[in-house]
Amino acid sequence: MRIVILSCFFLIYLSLFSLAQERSFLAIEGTVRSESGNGLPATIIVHELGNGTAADLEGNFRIEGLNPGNYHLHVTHLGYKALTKTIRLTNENLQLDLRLEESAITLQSLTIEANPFKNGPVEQSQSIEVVDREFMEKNNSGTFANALEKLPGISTINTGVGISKPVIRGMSFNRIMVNDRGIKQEGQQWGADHGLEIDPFDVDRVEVVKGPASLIYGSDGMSGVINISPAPLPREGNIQGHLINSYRTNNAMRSHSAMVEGNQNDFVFKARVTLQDFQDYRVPADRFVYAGFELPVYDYRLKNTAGRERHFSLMTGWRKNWGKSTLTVSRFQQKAGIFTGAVGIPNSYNLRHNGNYGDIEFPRQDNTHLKVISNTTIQLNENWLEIDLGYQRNERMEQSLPHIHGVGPTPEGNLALALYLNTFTANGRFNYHINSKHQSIIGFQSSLMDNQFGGFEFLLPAFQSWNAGFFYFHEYRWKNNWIVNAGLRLDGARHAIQSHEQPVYDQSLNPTGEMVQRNPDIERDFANISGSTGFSWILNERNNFKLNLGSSFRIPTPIELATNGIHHGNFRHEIGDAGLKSERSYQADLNFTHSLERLLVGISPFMAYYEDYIYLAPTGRFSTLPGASTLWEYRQNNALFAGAELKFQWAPTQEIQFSLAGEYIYNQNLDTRLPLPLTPPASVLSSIEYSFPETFRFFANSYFYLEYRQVAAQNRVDRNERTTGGYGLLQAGLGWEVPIGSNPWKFRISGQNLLNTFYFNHLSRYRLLNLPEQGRNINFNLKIPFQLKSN
Amino acid sequence: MCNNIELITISITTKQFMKRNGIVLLAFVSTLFLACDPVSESPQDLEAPVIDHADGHDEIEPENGEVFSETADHTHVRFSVEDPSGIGQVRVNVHANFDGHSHARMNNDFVRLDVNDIYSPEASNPDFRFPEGTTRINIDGPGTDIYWTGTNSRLTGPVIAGSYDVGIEATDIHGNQTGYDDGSSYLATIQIRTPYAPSINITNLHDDELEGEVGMPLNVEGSISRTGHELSAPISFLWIRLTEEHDDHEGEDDHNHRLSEEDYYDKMWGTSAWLDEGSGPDLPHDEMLDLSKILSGDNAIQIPSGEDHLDLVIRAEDVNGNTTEKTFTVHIE
Repeated sequence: MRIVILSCFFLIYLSLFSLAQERSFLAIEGTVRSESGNGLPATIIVHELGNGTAADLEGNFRIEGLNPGNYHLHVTHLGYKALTKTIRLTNENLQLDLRLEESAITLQSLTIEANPFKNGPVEQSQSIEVVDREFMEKNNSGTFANALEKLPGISTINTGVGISKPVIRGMSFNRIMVNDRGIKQEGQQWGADHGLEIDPFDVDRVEVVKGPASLIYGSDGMSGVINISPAPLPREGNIQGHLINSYRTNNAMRSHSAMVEGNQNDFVFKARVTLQDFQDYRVPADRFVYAGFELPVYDYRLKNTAGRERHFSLMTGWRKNWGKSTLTVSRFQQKAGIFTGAVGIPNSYNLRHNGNYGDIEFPRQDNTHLKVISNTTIQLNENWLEIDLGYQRNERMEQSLPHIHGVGPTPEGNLALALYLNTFTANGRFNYHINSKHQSIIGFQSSLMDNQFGGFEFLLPAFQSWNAGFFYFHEYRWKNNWIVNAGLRLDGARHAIQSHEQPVYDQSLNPTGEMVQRNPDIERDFANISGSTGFSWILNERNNFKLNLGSSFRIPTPIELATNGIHHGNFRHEIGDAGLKSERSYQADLNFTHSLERLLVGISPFMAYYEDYIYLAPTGRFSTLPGASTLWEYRQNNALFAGAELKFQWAPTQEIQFSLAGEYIYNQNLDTRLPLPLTPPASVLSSIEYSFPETFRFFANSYFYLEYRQVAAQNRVDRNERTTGGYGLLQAGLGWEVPIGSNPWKFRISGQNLLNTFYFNHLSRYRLLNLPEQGRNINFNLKIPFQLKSN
Repeated sequence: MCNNIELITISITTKQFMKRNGIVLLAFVSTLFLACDPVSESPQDLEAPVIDHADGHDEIEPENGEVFSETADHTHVRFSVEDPSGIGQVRVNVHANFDGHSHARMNNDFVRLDVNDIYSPEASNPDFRFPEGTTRINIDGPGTDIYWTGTNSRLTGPVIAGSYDVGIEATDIHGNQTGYDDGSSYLATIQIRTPYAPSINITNLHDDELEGEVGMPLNVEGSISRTGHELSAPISFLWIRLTEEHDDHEGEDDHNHRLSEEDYYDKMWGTSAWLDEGSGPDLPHDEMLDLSKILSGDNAIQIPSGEDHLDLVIRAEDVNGNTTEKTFTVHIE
């Protein structure tokens, strides 16, 4: 079946090119100037074509070879607010006089592309955070999700240091989604100890859309979306790349990533290889208390938390005046140890170290995620059709010794749980620019998932899922300073879940020959309507007010419908409910931004009412399965979420920037009248950054920052969840460039948890074992850019 | 429930706003705090049941560190559970602890003790049943004792000698459950000895202690031997450690130690069926091992300075996986 579907994808892909038309070539030319009239050597990118140019020192630019049509120009220059300009080319060249507003606030110089209408940050009605490669490198912490933690409203659920998944406004798992190049990442995201399989180095731009996102993205876009998009392609005739090497002291983590990209005659390519190895990590404790026993942490290191990662990605494509098309193949491969005491009750003998901290023993995860993604933008008359096709294969192997699970040697050996998930995705969007006041998007999304499993444990049965949705989204520029949008979406989905029978073992851990049915055949169909509306009111050039109202949905996952097995680590025996309905949310998001040249204040309160929110509830009964504690059932009832993020940035001088980011989340399960589990505690991240003036020849673009994160105690907890005390963490960083040849080398040193603070993370799986988080960590990073060919 | 949502209406014009940025900003900020005023969470019982000793006894039984001798055939199970809302279920679980980190399965008739007794209002066995709504149960009867040999044995074959973990957990009617993380579930490690597991004997004890002198080799006389029992088998593994004194009872911080702090001596011979890295040089004999010969020459135990008492821990295993472990106190002059 996989071959048939792949062939279909290929045929669609080829047929798209026949739609493309070569027509007369036009040009856009003009100048980019500051408000005071000085020319700026800004970068101008034509969004639809992915190409562009740099203006000269006087600000003059010219982009040639364009067909008539509607385009979005992204204009950026460091120290100035990014500008997005919608233009219409008819049958003659266009003259533009672009003005950029000065801004000392770094993040304002980034454009936003997550907005489906491709216009600027003030026009869209949702709250969007955007970060670039520079931010990711500056905040490198070994995983992609952890690098985003500095954004207000974003936190992570961690299992040690190599496995982490993002949380947006207190929601994670299947209630948020991650889109890589327009394709939703599908990798068993229902599991707390299932990390996000993204190479942290292979991320150029990240846009986090907070709030309901089902309209554009479908099921699971309940609380937000993380969009990973590629950086602009290099200019014609250039071949360039970089090497990044980093070392983290806490767990001797060595990371090496090599990238090369180029553009020859509109043929573009990019390749990356990343290697990352780390040892058992250190915690600021030599013992921990579990089950009333004091257990040792030898050499302050958590046994078997080492890991090994090997990732690659390869992109090739064309960039023409009719559009662009790229094909990306990437593979994430990770082998990560799980702390020996985390499965089963920690035992004296198995916490002993053999002295080799790099060994990855049992239990461990072997995860691979293969993606083949095709992105095509094609001009149809004056408008643009975007087609994203994807194939993903996620393989998750949880290796563990059978006796820990109460079974004897098995034909599967030490493979406790294997999950093989194949996902095919096809998405299309047609951006129709009606006139200068109206534009609309018609889109469809579809996916097919096939899950198989192996191993001696059972948690998730084999299933197939089909999803398809159509949406219409309209933007209306009512007045120059009032932009209104609204959209509607229809979805249909089907789950076909196969029954499963599991062998029964006797006291000697031998199979008895008997089988017990864990779940029956389940077939479920779902239909959903979702929609959203909102406005952006640009009060004046300093103040922007936004409101977004939306209704999102999520169809129950096969794990929620059919699971019947033990979640090791929390010892729970979890049972699905085949009768669960779709979950639905009604959300209101407000956003107010006040921005001056040197000041930015943003406040984003939100409130959401969830209908039929699906959650795990304790039954108070014990499981009879070996190795399990109590039975927990999936149930659904209404829930409430509310909270806010606060952002404050102030640059009193060109060199100094203060920033403050705060977040708070309140939630309540309206059935139990208790908070929902794994709610991130309130926190405030404050920082001061000093950029050194350009006085030293060999140290350009130098900076130093100091950060302090204060996290409040989380005392609002669900039944059987423990409260977690508050803590404060000090972090600092230093970076500079050394001009070697034409490409300066970038040096960065940063330190996390500098005071070696002993603290518990409320969202960490090891919190259940009373294990503190990683201790002091110093990160050394060197980036060596190179140019193989230049135009 | 967020039943009184106070949406603040901003009904001023842009022009006014420009003059009153600050006020609107303030109003906006206040929506943060006023937007939702949820009904305070009604006080709820979030407390797990309390597991404690049974009436008339000082400790929960079996106790941590309890050793059941070669002639013992069962352990008492004595504890109480209390919860003012009503007890949901109670579980007594026994499983092998000797299975340190391997994937061994012994291809023989020996059976590990594996118990999962669930006490509940619906239990089919009247000894495990209590009335619904009960707020306190006291378990102290013969019907709940756990037998591993003899006519009442729960096993289909001879028990594998060694250490076992005994856990007691409880839930209440709301689903609040005791946990190992905070020590509200009970966990004890016990030793089950059998007449067929290897026998460990030390003959030079004075007042039940070995005597050692700082800087001198420890003199240990005695033997490890296969017994004459029909189920006995050749010895396959020996592990000797000298460690800081093991505190069987309440340690500092009221916590038991599952592992002593530092090993001054740690040597293995033969191959363990259970321990992942449990192997060493060949045993000189598989029926009888003379400790004074084994602990001589390069293998002698040197007594470190700075300690008054240390523990000598000897663990021996036969080819069927039966394990005997004994701890001897070393008094240091």
